[in-house]
Amino acid sequence: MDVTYEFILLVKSEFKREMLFLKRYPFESLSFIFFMYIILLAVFFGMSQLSARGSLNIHQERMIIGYCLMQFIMSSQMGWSGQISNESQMGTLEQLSISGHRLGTVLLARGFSQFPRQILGFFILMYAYVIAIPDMNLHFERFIPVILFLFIIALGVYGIAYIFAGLTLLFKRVGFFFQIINFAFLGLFWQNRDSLVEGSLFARLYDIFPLTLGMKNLLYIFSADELHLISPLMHQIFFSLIFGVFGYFLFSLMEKKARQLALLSQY
Amino acid sequence: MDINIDHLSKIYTKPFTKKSFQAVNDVSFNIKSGEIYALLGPNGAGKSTIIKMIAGLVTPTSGRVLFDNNVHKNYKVLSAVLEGSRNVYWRLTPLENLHYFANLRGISSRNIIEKSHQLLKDLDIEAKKTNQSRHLSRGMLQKLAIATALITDPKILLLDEPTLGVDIASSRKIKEKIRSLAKEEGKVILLTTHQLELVDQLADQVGIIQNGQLIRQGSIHELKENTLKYLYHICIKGKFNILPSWKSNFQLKEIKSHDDTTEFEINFKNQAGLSEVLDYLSKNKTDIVFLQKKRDNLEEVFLRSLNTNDVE
Repeated sequence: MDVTYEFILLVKSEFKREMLFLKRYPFESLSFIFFMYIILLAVFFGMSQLSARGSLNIHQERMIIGYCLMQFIMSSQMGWSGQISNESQMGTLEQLSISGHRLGTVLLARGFSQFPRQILGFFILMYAYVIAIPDMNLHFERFIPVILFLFIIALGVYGIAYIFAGLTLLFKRVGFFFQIINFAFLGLFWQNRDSLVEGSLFARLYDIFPLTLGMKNLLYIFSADELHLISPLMHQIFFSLIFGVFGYFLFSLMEKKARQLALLSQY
Repeated sequence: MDINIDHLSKIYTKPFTKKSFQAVNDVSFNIKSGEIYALLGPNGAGKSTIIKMIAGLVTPTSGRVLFDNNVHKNYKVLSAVLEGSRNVYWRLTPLENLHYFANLRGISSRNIIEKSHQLLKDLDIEAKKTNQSRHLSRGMLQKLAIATALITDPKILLLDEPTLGVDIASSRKIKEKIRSLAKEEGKVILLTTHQLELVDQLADQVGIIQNGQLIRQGSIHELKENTLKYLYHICIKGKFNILPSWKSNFQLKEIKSHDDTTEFEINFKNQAGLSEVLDYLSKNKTDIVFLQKKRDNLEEVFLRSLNTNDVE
C-alpha cells in the first residue's frame, strides 16, 4: 500500500513538473514536433520527385505511422538518457538516488508522467500530415485503441529506454549513438512486414520486438476495415512486458556498477 | 539514531588498465544522536567519498555503514547536501523544489505547506520563493539545497561543505540551524568543511582524514590537548646548538637561527619532556628570551596532524 501510494505521489509530482515545464517553455515541445514534421515532409518531397519518374512505390500511411511512432519512442529514450546525463551534472541524480525509490522507479514514474504529452505529440504530428498530404486513408476515429496500444508499446519502449539510460550512467556522452539506433528503428518501421518471408528469422524477430510489433498493430488499427484486437493486444502486452522487465533488470545491473565506480555524479 | 562506520574502505580500479587507487582506507567512527561530527582533510583526502558511501551513492569495497547497529537499506532516514549548490532543479522555484523533493520521499505537498514556508523564512530565501532557482545567487542555492534536505525531517543529515560560497550573515544562519537540528531535534549530523572556525564552533567530534585514512579523531578539546598541550615556541639568546636527543625524542622545528638568538618550536609530548628541557636550559644557565605556548586553535591542530602524519 505504502509503495503504491508513494509511486502514485511520485507520478503526480513528475506530471506537475512536466506541466510546469510545458507552461514555461512551450516552444521547446512545439519546435520539436515542428522539426520532426518538417523532416518527414522533406523526405516525402524528395520521394515524390523520384516516384514521379516511376522509380518508387511509396506506402504513405506506413511511413507516417512509422515516423510518428519513432518520434514517440525517441522522446522516451532520448528523454531518459538525456535526463540522466543532465541530472548527473546538476547533482540532482544523486538526490534521486537517495530518495528511497530505486532510480529505475523514478524513471518509470517520469515515463508515465510524460505519456500524455507524447500521445498529444503523436496525434498532432499525424494530424498535421493528414492535412498536408491528400488521399490519406487512416481511421482517426479509432483513437482509443491507438492510445491503449501506444501505452502498451511504451512499456516495451521503456525497456529499451532503461538500457539506454543505464549505458548513459556508465559511459556518459552517448547521445549520438542512440540517435543512430533510433533511425535504425525507423528503417524497421518502414519495412513492409508482408514482404518478409513467413517463418524467417527476421520475420519472427519483427513479430516479437515490441516496437516493430507495435508498428504492425498500429498500422492494422489505423487502416483495417474491421478490427479484431484481442490477439494483437495479448501479443503486444506479453512482448512489451518482457522487454520492459528485461530492460529494468539490465538497468539495475548497470546502476549497481555505476555505484561501484562512483559514476552517479560524474558527467 | 546512531551511525556506526565500520572499517570502511574504497578502492577504485580502472576497468582496462586495472590501475587501482585507494580513496578510503579502513575508516571507522561513530556518531551518536544529537551529535555533530566534522570530517576535516585536504582536497582529495576522501571526505566526500565517505559521505557518499554513507548515503549509498558509492558502494564500499569493504566495511559497513550501520544505523542503530543494523546494515541500512532505507535511505529515507537521511538527507544529504552534496558538493556545493548542485542539488536542486534550477528551472523550478524554491517552493516547487521543496514540494518536489518532499513528494519524491513520499510526503504529500499538503503536509509540508507550513514547513516549506518556515524553512524558506528561516534560511532567508522566502522573498525569492517564486523566482526560478537559476536566478538565485550561489549562496541562496546553497541555502535552498539545505532547505530541500530538511523538508522531509531526516534523522541523519550529511552536509558536504554546507557554507561554501555563502555570505557571512547566511553562514551564521546555517550554523545556527545546524546547531539547533542536532541539539534541539537530536539529529545526527556529519559535515565536511574547510572552514575550521565553523567546526570549532559546532562540532562535538572531529575526524581528520589524509590520503583516505583517519589520522586523528576525538573531541576538539581532546585534539587540542593531544596535539598542542606541550607545543611551545622557544627563543634563546645567542647561538644555541639543539641537542640531537631532543631532535629524536620530540617533534622539533627550528624557526630562526641568528648570531643573537635561536628560535625553535618544540612539542614535548608530555610533562616529563617539558621538565627535561627546562632543567637542561636552567642547568646550563641559558638565557631564555621567551617561552611561549602555541596558540590553542583548531587550524594548528589540523596542520600539525597532517604534517606529523607526513613525517610518520
